[in-house]
Amino acid sequence: MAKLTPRILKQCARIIGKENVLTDDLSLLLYAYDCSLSRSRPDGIFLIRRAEVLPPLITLLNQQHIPFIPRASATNHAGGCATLNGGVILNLTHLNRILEINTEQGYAEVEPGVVTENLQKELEPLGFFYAPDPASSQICTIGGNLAQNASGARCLKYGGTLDHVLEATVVLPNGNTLRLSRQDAGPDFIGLLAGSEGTLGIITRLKVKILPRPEHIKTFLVTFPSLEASIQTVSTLVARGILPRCVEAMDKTTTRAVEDFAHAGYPTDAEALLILELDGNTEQVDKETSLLEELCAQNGALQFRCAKTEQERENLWNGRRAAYAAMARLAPNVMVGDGTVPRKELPQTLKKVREILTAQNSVASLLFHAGDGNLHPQIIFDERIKPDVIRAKQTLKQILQACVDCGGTISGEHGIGVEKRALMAYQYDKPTLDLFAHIKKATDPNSLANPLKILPIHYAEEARPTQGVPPAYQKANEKFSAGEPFRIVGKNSRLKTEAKNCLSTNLFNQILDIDTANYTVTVEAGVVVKDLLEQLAQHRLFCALTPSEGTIGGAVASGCTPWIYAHLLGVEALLPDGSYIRYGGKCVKNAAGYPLTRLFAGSQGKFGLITQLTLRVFANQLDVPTDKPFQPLQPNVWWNSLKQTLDPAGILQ
Amino acid sequence: MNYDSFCELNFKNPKQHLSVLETPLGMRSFGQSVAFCNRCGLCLQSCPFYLLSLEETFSPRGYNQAIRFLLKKVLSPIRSRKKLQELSVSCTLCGRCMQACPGQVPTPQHILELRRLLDKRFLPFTLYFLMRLHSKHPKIFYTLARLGLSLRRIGVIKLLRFSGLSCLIGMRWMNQLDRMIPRSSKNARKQWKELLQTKEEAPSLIYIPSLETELFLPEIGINMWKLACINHRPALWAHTPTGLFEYVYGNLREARKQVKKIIEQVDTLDKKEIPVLTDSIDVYNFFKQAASLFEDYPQWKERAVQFAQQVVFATDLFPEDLKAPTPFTTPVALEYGALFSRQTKPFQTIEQKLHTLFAENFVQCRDRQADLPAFGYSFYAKDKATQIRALALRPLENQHVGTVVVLSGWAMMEVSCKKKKTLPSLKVLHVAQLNG
Repeated sequence: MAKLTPRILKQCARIIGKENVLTDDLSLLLYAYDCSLSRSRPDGIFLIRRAEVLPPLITLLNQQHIPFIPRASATNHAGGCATLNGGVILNLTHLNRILEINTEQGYAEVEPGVVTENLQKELEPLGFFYAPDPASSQICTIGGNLAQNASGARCLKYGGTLDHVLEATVVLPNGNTLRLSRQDAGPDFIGLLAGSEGTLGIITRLKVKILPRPEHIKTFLVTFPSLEASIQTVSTLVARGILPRCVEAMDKTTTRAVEDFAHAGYPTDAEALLILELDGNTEQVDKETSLLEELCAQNGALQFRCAKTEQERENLWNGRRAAYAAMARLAPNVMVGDGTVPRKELPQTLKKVREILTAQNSVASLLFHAGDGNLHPQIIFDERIKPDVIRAKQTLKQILQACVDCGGTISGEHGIGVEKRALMAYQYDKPTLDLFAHIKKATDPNSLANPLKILPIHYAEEARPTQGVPPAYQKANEKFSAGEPFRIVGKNSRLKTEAKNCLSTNLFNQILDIDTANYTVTVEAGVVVKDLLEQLAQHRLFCALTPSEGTIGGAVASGCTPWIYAHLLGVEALLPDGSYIRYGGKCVKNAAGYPLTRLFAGSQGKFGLITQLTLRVFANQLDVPTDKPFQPLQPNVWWNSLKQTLDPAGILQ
Repeated sequence: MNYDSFCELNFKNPKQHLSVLETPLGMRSFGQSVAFCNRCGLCLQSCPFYLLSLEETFSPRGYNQAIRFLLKKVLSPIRSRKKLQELSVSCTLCGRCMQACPGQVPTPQHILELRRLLDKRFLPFTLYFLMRLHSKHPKIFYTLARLGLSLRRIGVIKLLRFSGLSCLIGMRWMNQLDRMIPRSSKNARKQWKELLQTKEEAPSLIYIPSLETELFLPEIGINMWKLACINHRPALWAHTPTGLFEYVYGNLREARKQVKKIIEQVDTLDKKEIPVLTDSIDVYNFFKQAASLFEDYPQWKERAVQFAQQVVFATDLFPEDLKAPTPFTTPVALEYGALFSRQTKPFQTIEQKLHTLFAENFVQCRDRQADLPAFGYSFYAKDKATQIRALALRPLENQHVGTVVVLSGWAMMEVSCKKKKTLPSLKVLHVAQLNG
């Protein structure tokens, strides 16, 4: 990587304007940090006032090998905006125009620097809303949300940012512009972009989904004698088919801290507290309310209170929002974690977390999005005291490791950045980390776009032990090693190929796990969709698929059922180089690394063989559209480079 | 670990700014107060200047980090002086960030300390010179100021402008100041002159007019006097240094001297607990914090605490049966721009009064409203100040406000200056003018 010389600066200034180049001491220091502890001084700051200047600017930076780091509000907790090896900061906050709001077709077109709450405010009078609601929505930007795959309290019902982006325009690290759309046949590249933290390119325009505002919203405050009882209530709720708009939980310590500060009217004697919100039409909400009350009573709820007025509702939420503030007053710094575990593992994880906090003698509040299993421990410390910082870091590390041990992930919504990249090796094995590295290498060969993020530097030695290719898939592996080109098919019901050299997934047709407590199912790729649905029906579970003769692997890889992508939680796959990757699991959200489920979804078996999938299932029948007809791939730049990197010999045809 | 070493911005001259601050969460050392900014960024969207510039350098988070770097000696105040001046002046000291901050970090107070360190040097040189003169040699200053005002009255400033001479470097600020300073009526000037000559042998209240009142806004002084006369026998102490410039923005060593002078002057009276009235909310807030000036001077501290209790504002003198001067048909709003804190007692009192006086006609334009820039801003960043003023007036415009009540002469000048173009029908009233 080269240094930013005055000559290059001059050339850049010619493109973006002299007044938009900052190189003074103070500015360089002030752009050296974000919300995390990471700090490193950039070589220059470029204020991007028009998206049109980005392609020529990036081309120039690419030619000169200058790293660049996109940055908007810099509210991330992971050090995603730190310039580790020098380079320039591209400040995108000026790209803050809402270009179009189309309520008829349900979308809004925005620039990446639009503040999430500003979009919500524009949509409110039109009777619409934008579903992702990160806690920092009043300051964070939509581009940043996609780059970090932010979600928020409403994630359980509506999903994270990646499920709400319809189109995205990206300036690639070589300066070319790539337009991605959900309509494109092929892998879900928008999904791949989510959580990429600016390492794949710079988002310059987004088309996001907007939804009509629900007719009726009811907010409840329920207290429980134990945290376990509150989590059990959430599980029972989901089991009975109620998908609340938000489910937020707090422990006693947090409730007390919040009540002392915000006076939200929370009872301080209960061990756990839930804030639930139901939305929909009046009839549906009323029906769900009575069921909710009944279920809470069954699980030993101490108090069940419904907010009767808008003011009361606002008070309940103010308390939740004040949780961070309550801690921020106690000490100069607050370290926020975002480890996520499968919902049923929450009580177990919480026990471990408490043990860690006691052992480390750390003070932290615990609050979590109970519906998603997303924990937010807020550890207070003073960054001026070194041992305090080390202790806080150590505590968070152990908490995140505990989450991984419980089958979870180190990040549910904040991303990896620099702060958590070492822990990536704890969560993933070498082949999976290799795949992340390959994706980065394929899309950014010079490693200039936000370099040295997400991936640990020496992961080869530190990675989780590789379990190798399971025996069941050895045969498939042998076929890869043979080196002859072939096609991967399931039942051949969608692809309808006549090619002779095929590898069928028919042999892997086990339903490995139906988790009725967590609402997930893990299946091998060769399981026929119809059979899966029948099996699920026996457990009174439903999946977002229509009965068909094709396999589940085919349904995901063919791109004929793109709505299932949002329900894909984990994937295991065999790659052409013989490595076996394991990504995700039973967690509802995972922002650790590139979302590999989205890479294989719609890839039509050209990147590797999907062997196992974990899907989200539901207690209620879903409205599922009919399968789309099979469309051949439309290769784009990313497709070509990824194919070249992952399958250079062209084995998978 | 001892953090005291991180409390001073300037080791050579440590008493130039406050080292112990009164924050909403108690007394904290300067370094400790700055350290409580944990860079969460929740203040960003509340800052009017960040909303205009969208640059980290001009955001509350940026301000706090810059000060932190200064404290840590990572940033050199000499090398970055120009940028620091720009940064310190860019903050309008409105206090919105403090309201948005989860830890209630008093960023405006930090910036104020930075301004004190930079010691009025954010002003154009000529103006800076005049301000220095005001604190060092008040008599020469007043002579010059009167001469300037007389020249202005006979049209010399206009002549300078038309001749193009006022565009010369070092003279440009004159245009800006000319636009801001209202032209007081001859009658008011005459009345004010008479008041200045009155002498009260046994006063029950001391009225210290602010510099802007004394020189440019005699109407405020007259009304304040009338208000004081309702229940007191006031004495007018003119030519006492009572500007924002001595106390609020200036070197605190000088401010201490000036406050001491006032206290000593008060002590010469028979009744030492006599109320001291001021007409500027900023000076009032500053006097209320007088004790913090004398943290290191135990012999003065007790007296300063007592003095702080003696200070009163127009709102404390309102009669029970206060009646609005004229019937208001259009909505009335309150301007909240004030240094230190917008949640001080006078605001609450005036809000209550306005509610009683105008009932539903009193509208609150707090939400998302930008405040008026603090002093110095208009000269340093003229274009941006215009935009910020426009932002501040937009809510008034949206709610069809006909009258805006202000709590200081400076705010009156700022609003009057902007409204000339955008809201010519807007009437600006100082709180003292509410009483008939």
